[in-house]
Amino acid sequence: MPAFSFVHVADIHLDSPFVGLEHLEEAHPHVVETLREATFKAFDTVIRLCIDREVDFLLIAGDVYDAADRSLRAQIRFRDGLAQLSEAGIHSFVVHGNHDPLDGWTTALRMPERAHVFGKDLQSVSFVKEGEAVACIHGLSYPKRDIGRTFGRGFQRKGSEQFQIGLFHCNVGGHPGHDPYAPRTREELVESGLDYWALGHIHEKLILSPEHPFIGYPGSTQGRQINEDGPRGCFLVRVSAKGEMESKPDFIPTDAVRWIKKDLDISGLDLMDDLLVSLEYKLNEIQIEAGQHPAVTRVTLTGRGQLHHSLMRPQDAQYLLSRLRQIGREQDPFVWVEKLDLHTHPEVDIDLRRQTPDFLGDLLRLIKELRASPKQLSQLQGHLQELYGHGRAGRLLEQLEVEDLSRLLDEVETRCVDRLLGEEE
Amino acid sequence: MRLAEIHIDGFGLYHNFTFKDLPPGLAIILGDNESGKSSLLAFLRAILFGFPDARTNQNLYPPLRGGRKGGRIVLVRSDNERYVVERYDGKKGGRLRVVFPDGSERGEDAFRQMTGAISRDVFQNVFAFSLGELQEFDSLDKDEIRQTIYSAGLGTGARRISEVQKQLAVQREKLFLPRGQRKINHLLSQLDQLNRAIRECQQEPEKYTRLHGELAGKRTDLEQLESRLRQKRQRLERVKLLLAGWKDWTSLRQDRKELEDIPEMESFPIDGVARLDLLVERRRQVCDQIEEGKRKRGAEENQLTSIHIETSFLKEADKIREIERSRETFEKESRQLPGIEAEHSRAENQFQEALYSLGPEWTKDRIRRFDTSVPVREEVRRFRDSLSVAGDEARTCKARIDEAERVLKHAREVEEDARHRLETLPRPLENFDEQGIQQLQLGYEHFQVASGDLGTRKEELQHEQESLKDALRDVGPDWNEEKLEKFDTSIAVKEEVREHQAAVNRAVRRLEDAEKGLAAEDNNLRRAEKIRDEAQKELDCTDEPTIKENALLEKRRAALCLIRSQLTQRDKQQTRLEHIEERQLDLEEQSQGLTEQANRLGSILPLWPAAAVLAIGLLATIGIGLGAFVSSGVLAVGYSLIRSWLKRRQQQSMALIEEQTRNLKERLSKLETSGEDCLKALEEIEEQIQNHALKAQLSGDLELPVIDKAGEELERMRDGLARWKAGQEKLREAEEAQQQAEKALEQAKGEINQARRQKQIAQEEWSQWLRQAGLRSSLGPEIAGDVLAGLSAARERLKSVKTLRERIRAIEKTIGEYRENVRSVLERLGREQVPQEKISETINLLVAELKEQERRKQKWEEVLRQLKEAGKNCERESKNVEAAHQRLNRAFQEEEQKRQAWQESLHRLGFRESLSPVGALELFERLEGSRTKLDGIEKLRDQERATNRFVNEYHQKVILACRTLGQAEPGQDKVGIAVDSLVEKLSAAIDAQGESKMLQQNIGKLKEEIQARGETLSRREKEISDLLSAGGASCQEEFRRRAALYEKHQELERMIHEHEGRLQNLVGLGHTLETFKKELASVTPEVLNEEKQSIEEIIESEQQISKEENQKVGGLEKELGQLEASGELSRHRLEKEAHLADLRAAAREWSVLKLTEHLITKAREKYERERRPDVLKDAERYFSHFTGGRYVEVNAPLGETQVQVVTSDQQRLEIGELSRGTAEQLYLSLRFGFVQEYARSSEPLPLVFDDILVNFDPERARTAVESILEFSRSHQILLFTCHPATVDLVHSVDDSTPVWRISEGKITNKAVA
Repeated sequence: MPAFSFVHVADIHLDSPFVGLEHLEEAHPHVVETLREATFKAFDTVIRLCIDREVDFLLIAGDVYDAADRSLRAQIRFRDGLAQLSEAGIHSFVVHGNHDPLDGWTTALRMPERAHVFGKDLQSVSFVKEGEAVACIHGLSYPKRDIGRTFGRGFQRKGSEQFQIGLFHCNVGGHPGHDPYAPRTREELVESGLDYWALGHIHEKLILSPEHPFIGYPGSTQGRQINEDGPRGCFLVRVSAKGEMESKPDFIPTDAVRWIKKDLDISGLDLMDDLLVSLEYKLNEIQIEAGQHPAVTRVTLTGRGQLHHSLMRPQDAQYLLSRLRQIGREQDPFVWVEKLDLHTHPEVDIDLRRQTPDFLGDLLRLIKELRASPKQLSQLQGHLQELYGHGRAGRLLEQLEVEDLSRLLDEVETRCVDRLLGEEE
Repeated sequence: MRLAEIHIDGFGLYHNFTFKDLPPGLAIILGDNESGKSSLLAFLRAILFGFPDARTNQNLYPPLRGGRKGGRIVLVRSDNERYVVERYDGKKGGRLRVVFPDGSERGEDAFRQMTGAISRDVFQNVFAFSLGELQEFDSLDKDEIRQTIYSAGLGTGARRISEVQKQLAVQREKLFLPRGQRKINHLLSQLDQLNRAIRECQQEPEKYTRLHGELAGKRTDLEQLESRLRQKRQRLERVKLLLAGWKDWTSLRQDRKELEDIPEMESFPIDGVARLDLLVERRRQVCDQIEEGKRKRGAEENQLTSIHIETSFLKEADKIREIERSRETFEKESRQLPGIEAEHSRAENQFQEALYSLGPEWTKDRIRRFDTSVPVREEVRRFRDSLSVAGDEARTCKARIDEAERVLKHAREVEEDARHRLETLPRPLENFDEQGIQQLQLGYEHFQVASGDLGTRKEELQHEQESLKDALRDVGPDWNEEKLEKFDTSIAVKEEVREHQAAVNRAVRRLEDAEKGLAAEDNNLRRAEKIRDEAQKELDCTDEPTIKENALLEKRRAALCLIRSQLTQRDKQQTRLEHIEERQLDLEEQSQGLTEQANRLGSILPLWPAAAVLAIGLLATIGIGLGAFVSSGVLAVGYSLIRSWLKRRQQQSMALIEEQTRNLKERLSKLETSGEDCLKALEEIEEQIQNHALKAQLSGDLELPVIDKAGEELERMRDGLARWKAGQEKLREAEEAQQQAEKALEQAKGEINQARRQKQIAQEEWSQWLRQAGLRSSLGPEIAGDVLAGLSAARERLKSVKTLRERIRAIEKTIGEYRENVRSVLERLGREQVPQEKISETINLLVAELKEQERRKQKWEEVLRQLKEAGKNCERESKNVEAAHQRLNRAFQEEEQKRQAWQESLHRLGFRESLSPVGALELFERLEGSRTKLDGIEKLRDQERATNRFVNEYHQKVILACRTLGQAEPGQDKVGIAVDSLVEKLSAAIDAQGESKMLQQNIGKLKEEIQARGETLSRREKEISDLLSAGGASCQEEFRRRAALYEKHQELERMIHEHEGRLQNLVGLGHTLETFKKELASVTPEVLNEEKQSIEEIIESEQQISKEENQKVGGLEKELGQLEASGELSRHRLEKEAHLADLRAAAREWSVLKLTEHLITKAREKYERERRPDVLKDAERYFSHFTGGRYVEVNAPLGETQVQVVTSDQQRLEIGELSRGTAEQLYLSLRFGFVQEYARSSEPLPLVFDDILVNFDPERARTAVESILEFSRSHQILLFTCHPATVDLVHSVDDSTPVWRISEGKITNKAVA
């Protein structure tokens, strides 16, 4: 049997927008354009990779695009990408997931010759190389967004010679932070007798079983929010003539823009200029970390220090952010500072201050009591109904949970200390 | 917490100042102005909160009398733990150091924690203030007062809180208002717009699909159209071809016809006529050329004879050329010669000068011979260097000798000085017990603390012992410490007491429960009896029914129902019977009618037929004029016919009537039968009614109203029966309930008896336990707990009494040991022993002496050390001087040796003896220069000689040449002109020779040419005659005629060929021309033109359509392309996400502001509700006391700018309306309020007042002093004053208040009471 190789991707989410970018209007059009094109560029990188490495086929494990977005461009670019592969003699095997189910909106685009899209019933397709069937791919697509818990049962090895691949969009082991679509346990997958489980749905790179069978998520091809930081990419897999994986799959980054989180402690910094220099240094670090990629970053300022009070003045914080953005924009490739998260504290020892028998002490104790009581915390929601219960705003803003309120209280506490002890404004 | 000691190292007036044994409670410090009271106050503030910065306007109190600025204080907490707080001026107000009782050292933070995080401002304004601070409020506006005074309790300004709240609200409203145009509102609008735009964009896919469909349709249509167009175009092309070929086709036919008329000529020379013309022309040209050649030959020959050549010059040509070539060199050399001569003589002069400067002993030869090689020079250089080194060494040695001598002198002076000082210093004492005194000093503080502590501890012990006695007395008269110690208060005993207590309680509770149960059951019984009585009464009121069974009543009701239905049946039957009777009467009438009709028919025939016949006869006779006879005969026949017809009709009617009559009779008999049935039924019904009436106990005329009435009666009876039965049931139930209640009452009584017994048992057991425990048996179990607790407390107290005793013993031991030490030290020193009260003084004295002794010792040793060191120095320096001298001598010797060697060297070289090595080196340089100049002179001499030789030789050459050629011989200065002339003449001879040669050649060539032309002419003639014969002509004219005919033939054939060729071209290769020709033969141009036009029109219109369709397709493709490439949706979505992020951030900020606002408000409410009233209540109490009850209330709502007081007659006054003294009293009250509030949660801090009673009237001053004294029970108070009257005032209230007098920064009088 001839050796072969393939690429495994998932969760491409073509043309899905980046989430959580504040004040984007301040960004240079070039930056905005780069962010907007990032998912496409990442997909192009996957296609280029397949052609350059001369792989035999590409596996796509669902969520190519968000059907709810109805992006024509996404579908056309997807079709064009597969067509490019087809022209280069490379096959592609696609299943649809919860974001692009079969009943979701699709344009009548004709798929290219060597592209195979799996239907709603479990199907097994052989891949033939040099006249010999070398791999058998089992897969099925989501018929609709919400499927039953039993959906996709019945993956089973067929024949013994071919390399067996399961192509499936599902949540294995109840991974938190993702909806429990088609929940499976690792053991169920192992029992199926397949050699490779090409999974999709989890946006992080995640290897559930490194040996035989290989079970893994390559993660999304492009991070789209600050929680999806670090390199994003796909697996490149080589199968020997004996029908065994040659080594662990290579993880190859495909992201066009990299998300990076950084922290900076302000304690010991006396002047805004010192802070700016430290931040500039951070930006350099970020650029080095991002390599050749443009980067979107969130810097969290922490610690106690003199600068806290300046940072609490909106105009100062805004100036700092604008200056950083300007510096980031001038770098090549650029670094866009998505947000400057302020978690700094005044130099005052709040625990000591809380013990004092005065007004501020009363206030700080009140906050502490509130924080300790989920019931009282949830009652605070009533005071925010003016905004959160407001017709239009209420629809767009998620209602605050107890944890959110507790976090808000941290900030409130700092504000109270700042306002009541700080200099007159 | 109180101040126990103040030590000031340096601060203003104070230096090394110690204020010890400050008592708890009130203490007065009396001093005149500028005696140091304010400095002391400032020192206390500074030591606690840091020394003021030089940048502030405050008095900095520099230490005027020396010492380091700063000091320490000792603070004693209520648990008697001592803390030493120390601070010296430094960065940021100086570093604070606190020594904790356990000896550990900590910093500012620990101190703040200890003092409840009090701030400098609060301390300055509330705890330690002077009249200045008190009065300052008066001059400030009210808002400032509030901010300053309330900052104590709020930890921040009250005004600040209101302002912060306002700022928060403003910032929040900038972000969002439900019906405003704020940031969030704006974002919401933008998001709405974006959502709309996104929805629009999301319609694109449908549009795309639709457009795709349209495009496919259009493309199919277009393909069909294109196919049609192709066919049309093909036909059009054919037609065009036919039209294009038409001209050739007609010409072809014509040419063929013409060709047939021309005779056939086999061949003719190609281009015959032209060739003939050409040949004739050529022949003429040849003739012309021959003539021209002959003319030219003549002219050349003439020219040749006129040329003359100088041959002698040609022979000497080489020599002349040689002279010409060298001429330039000759001129150059001639020019240079004078310059070389001049340079030669200058060089000679310079050399002579150089030779002179070397000296008379130097000649050219000697210079040439003298050895100036590198080794020789190197030798000289070595001499120079070594001589220089030797010189330097000598100089260095001299300098060293000078320096060493100077140092030596200085050392000797130092030694002398030290010796002198040692002699004048006092010697330290001998036999001084330093170690002993040091130990005394170390132990002194401990001793002092112990002494101070002893009194306190003894008081405490006494207090504890009394408390213990009281506690024991509470337990019982026979209780003492011993019994208390033995008494078991273990948990097991407590457990037993608790069990007994529980048992008694249980019994009591059970008894109570049982009593309650009995009362309840008694109530139940009474209630049951009442219910039964009521039921009986109710039953009595109800009539007893005649019929007591429901079944009987039911039977009567059923009978009544049946009667009602039979009555209805009876009515129906009666109605039916009446109907039958009416029908019978009807039928009988009908039957009678029929009988009459039958009678009438049987008697007569009708007369109308005869009359009718007669009338017709008459009319016929009159009208037609028939004969009477005929008429009468006809009439007779007619009449008889009618008559017989009538007869038959009569018979038929009779039969019909009979039939009807029969029917009627049958129906009558049936009716009779029905009537009988009806009667029979009526009878039966009547009978049944009677039967039912019997059952229903009815009689008489039974009609419906009667029945209804009976029904109603029956209903009433039923109700009555039901009521009666219910009453009976109720009575029965009530009786049962009564019986049950009686039983329960019995049971409850039993229960009570049981509970009483149980209680008695529990109490007996308890009394027994008490007896066993040695306690009064009358103790109730509920008090026993308290007694036990009292015993526990007493034991705790006993424990602390014991601890105190232990401690006092330990303290006394410490004091005793220390005294023993003092005694032994004094003994060793040989001093008198001292009483205990003088120990402190003695120790101080001893310590001072010890210090003096140490100082003396230190100084003595220091000077001794210096003396020794100076001696050592002197010795060392003397040696140095000696060594330097030796070295100088060595240097001189060496230098001398080197000089001698040099003299020898000079001699060897042949130099003068006075020459130094440097001079010798210079001489070498000059010799080298002279040698170079000598070489230059020789070179110039050679050059001059060579130039002269060359010039003369050249001149000779020119003279020789001129002589040979017969030219005049030139002088040396005319050589140039002679050469020019020779060269010129040679050139002329060469030119003439060339020209002659050329002419001769030309003449030869011309002769040959003329000969050749003659041959060409004869050849031409032959060619012409050959051509004519080839064309079959004898002369040129004939030839030309035949040529024209041949040409015509050829032309026609060519034309035909061309036509054929063009037609073939039109048809194209591979297509048959014949078909095309046939097609041409079958049409005319008109027909073709017509067809062409029509096809063109069709094509044009279809092309237009195609163009339009193509445009549409293009439009669709473009639109699809735009849709495919459109990034608008993703742009909008990215923008939407960004806006959402902005919205969330803004919402978060809004929430933080809102919650901050809310929580500040809440905390403020809480503060106002819970904390502030205490402050104000306390303030009120003091203020009321100060003012002798004139004012009763102090109000200060938080956040408002007013402070109000209320008088006893409920008059509200603001601060501005109060007198200065009263306002100050108010401020003092408020301070007391805050201090108390503060003390509720923290260790009470000492208070310092600096002359604050000045503006109080005597009465209020007295009450204020009373309050201060009262306050001093919980707080230590230092009252600074400069008025002895204040002291008197205090003493008039409490004469035990200690007073210190202070003056010039020192305590002059201690604790005057």
